Amino acid sequence: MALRVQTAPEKVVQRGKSRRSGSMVRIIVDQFTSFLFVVPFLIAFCLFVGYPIVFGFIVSLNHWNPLAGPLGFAGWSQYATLFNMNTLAAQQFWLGLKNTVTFVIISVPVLLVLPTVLAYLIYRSPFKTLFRSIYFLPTVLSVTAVTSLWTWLLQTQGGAVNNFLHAHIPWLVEQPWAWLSIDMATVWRTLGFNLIIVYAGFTQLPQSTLEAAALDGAGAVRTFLSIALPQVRHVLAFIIVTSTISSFNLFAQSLLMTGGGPGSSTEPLTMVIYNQSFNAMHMGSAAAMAYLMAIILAAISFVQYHLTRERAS
Amino acid sequence: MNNLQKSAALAVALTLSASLVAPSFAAASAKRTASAGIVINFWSSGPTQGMTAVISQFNKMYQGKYNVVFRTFPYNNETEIVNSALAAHKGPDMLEESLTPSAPYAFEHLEMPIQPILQMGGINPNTEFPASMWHGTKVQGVHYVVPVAGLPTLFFWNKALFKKAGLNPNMPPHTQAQFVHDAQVLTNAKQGQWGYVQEPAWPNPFVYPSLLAQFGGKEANPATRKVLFDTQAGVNALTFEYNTIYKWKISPVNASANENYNLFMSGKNAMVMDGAYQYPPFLQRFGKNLGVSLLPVIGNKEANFLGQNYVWVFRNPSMTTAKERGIGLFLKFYYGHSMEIARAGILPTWEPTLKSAALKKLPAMYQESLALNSGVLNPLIPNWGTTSSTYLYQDIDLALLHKMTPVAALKDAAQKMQQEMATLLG
Repeated sequence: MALRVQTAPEKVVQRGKSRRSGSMVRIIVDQFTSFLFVVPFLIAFCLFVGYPIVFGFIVSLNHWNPLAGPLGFAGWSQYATLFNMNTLAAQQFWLGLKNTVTFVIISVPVLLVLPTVLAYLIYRSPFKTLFRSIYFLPTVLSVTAVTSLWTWLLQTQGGAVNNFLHAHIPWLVEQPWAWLSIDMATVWRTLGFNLIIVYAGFTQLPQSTLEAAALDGAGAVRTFLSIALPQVRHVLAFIIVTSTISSFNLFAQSLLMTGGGPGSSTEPLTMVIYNQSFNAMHMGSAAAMAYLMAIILAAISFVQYHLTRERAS
Repeated sequence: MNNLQKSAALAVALTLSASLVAPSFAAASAKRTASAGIVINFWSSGPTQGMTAVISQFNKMYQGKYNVVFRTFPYNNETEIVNSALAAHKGPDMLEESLTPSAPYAFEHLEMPIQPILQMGGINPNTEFPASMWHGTKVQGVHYVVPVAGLPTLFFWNKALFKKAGLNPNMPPHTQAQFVHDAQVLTNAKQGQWGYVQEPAWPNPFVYPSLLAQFGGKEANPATRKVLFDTQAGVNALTFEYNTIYKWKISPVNASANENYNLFMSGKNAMVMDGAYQYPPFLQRFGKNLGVSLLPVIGNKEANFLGQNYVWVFRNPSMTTAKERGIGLFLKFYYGHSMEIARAGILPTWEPTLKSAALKKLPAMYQESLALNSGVLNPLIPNWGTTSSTYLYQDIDLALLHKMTPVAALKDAAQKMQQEMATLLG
């Protein structure tokens, strides 16, 4: 048997080959491992987001009873019905949308301005941790607890607020008070969340710029308006979009504080969809309403995002 | 990332993935191992006082044969919970709820006719249930539901306030004139003291149908799906409510939700018309100073709306004759022990108990049993009184807020609801 002695260059080539194949294996293992890390999220996403989105769309194209399932293909007719104002579904949908937009208009500016001002005051305050905790506290409470509390405070005859004011304000039963009450409860609960985000933005302000402004004689208000606010504009854009989306999803406050009243003036679109699906059992029509709402919301968010981005740039 | 960290992270990822899919296998295996006789799944969103004790006695008596598994859930979420469970074929065998939510299931043929099941349990519904709770509960000529609890609308008054105002604390008003007179005597608006508090929202679904029936009207005809509350009787009933605020001024303007209750509890409201479910908290608050009676006759005759709880049986794949017999036996057992339910504060719907001497010894319960004689139910239209009559109460709300006249409010509500009727099941 002839022994073949490997030369040095041959050894290097072979070592290189085995190293290459070894690194290939490692790359594949690494990639597979990375993939495994996202598998739990992927499964949850497909189960709880992807599947419902597709299924909801199928439902919206059918006459669908939650008890009996599909009762026949409807095509786009349930979407078309929402534009026929002679139908109860369309009247309810557009009234719900109008109510929701009203709420968005009165809540988003407050949810933007108030947390921004408070976040800046806290940023300048020596008791940062204390105030952040205090303002964030209502955010961890359940919406049911918050609305119960506010409903109790705002009773017309025996409510603590009217007693304090020596007034007879119909907070929960007359407009515009009913909207104001819902807005107060919502702002009180969600202000802390927005505040923490804006506060985080303020902590990124370059100290040198602030010091330079102080040396130039800029007061607290001028510094806030001319330096701090422009620096956190991207954060504010984010707050506008997320607050609009969450205000569009108003449900529990109306249900628990005013029951949608007086009349149906605080009945948001989500409540209309809920009633249409679970009470009237028109799941197909409700799904069409939900899809139309999603399209409207996506369009508003798109415009808002691009407007604020353009203004920022 | 070193190998140890990577392995740990991998293990976490795999565990999370497994935890997402494992529950379904666990549920399947749990199903296979359950073997304590025939399981009867009984769900309830109704009042459960006394029920748990009766069920555990039944399970003890029929150990190895039947096992009633009782589950309660909040009244406000019942539609979503039950419908989701039914859609997933994991619904209950029996459900306890108010009457009208049973209608959609009956129209969809998801319920079993109840009379054969009652027969298996040895129950004669025509003689053993109050007539007001048995008749008028058929869907397309078939009985699907049995009454298990009654909640009549009652009249409560604060005897101490009556005495303070110079009225006889043991003489509640019996007519509209007496009611208005007493309320005026009891009202001192400047001091925030009211004879009565007319709320736009709850408990009007108890009060308005009571007054409507007293004036000789009906909410709707379930057979023809014709809305009837906008007749003269309906207008009279709503006008009475409206007048308590704006004409006689015995009730505050703009009362918020729950204010009739809150002000009564704080001694600022002297009289309440509401469901019998208010009796326990009122009794606890006022003791001997609480008066309870049938509603005064505001209209032309005695009548009161009957809040109610019924049981029905779902037609599901696991239903067998043996299980049906078990349900029949359970119902008979439940009714046989309904004095325990009465002692727990729930009005039974079993004539032998209602006529018993033991029940007469419970004063409020006796008043409630009398109210059954003039009780009226909601029309058996899907979810009437819970959700499908939303338009009615929205417009009544506007009338009581002085935004619409009673006539216009009822006309508008009737028009919308007539349109809604056409889209409901059945």
